[in-house]
Amino acid sequence: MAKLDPKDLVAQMVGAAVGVLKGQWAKAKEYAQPEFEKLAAIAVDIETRKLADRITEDEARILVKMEKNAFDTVVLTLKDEGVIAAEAAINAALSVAAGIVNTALGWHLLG
Amino acid sequence: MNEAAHARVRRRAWTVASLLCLVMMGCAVHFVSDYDEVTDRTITELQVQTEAFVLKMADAAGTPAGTYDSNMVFYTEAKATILTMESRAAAMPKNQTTVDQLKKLAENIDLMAELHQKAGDKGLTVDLAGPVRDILDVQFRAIMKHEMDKKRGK
Repeated sequence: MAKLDPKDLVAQMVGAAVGVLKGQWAKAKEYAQPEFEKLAAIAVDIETRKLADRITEDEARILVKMEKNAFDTVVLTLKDEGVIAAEAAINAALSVAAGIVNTALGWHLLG
Repeated sequence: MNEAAHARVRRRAWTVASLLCLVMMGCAVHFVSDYDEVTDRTITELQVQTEAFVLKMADAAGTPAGTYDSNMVFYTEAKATILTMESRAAAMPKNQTTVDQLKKLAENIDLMAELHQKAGDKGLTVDLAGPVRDILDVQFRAIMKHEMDKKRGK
């Protein structure tokens, strides 16, 4: 009998990602959620094939290792997605500040 | 004003002065490397090659043409491509995420090779090729998305 519940797996992956991303999860969810669902489906698929003796225990173990690497790769993308968003926010603020300062300097120069 | 208050005022003045310099110099902050067209193109090409290889192996499973020994060249060339991309990525500042992602991809190519080798004459059957293809699909997509994110809406 199959043991893995895909919804449970997705919830665990989301939990792990939220731990890494913290406040950025809401923005990252659009990309992350379908990828986690895909990975959960793959995990269930591996288990199904193993239980049906279509793959060996060793083969299942290697496939799970590969899946862990894929999950890590997704999380790396998510982390930098948040960093790039923060960078954009800071640069927008700097640009506004530059506009204010340059305008002030402009008045001084003209004054 | 006591010493601690003086220190606070000095720190605030220093922070304001630094920010003013940044603003006046028109500086932008950059926490992540810029988009690299070569990396984007190379990873896309590698995905196409890997996908084609896995499908071909699933078709050839159980025949001499489908064994690991008959197909070692693919693994050697894939690893060489990834290692070259890794070197390029490492040469760019603030690009550690791409470097780490490529290391994970290299690990998975090694694991796929291990699966294939251990399968012996059986080769990469549909039961192995299916999950391998799906896993690598997620992984390639994550690397390509990260590269696209670096475009920053440009």
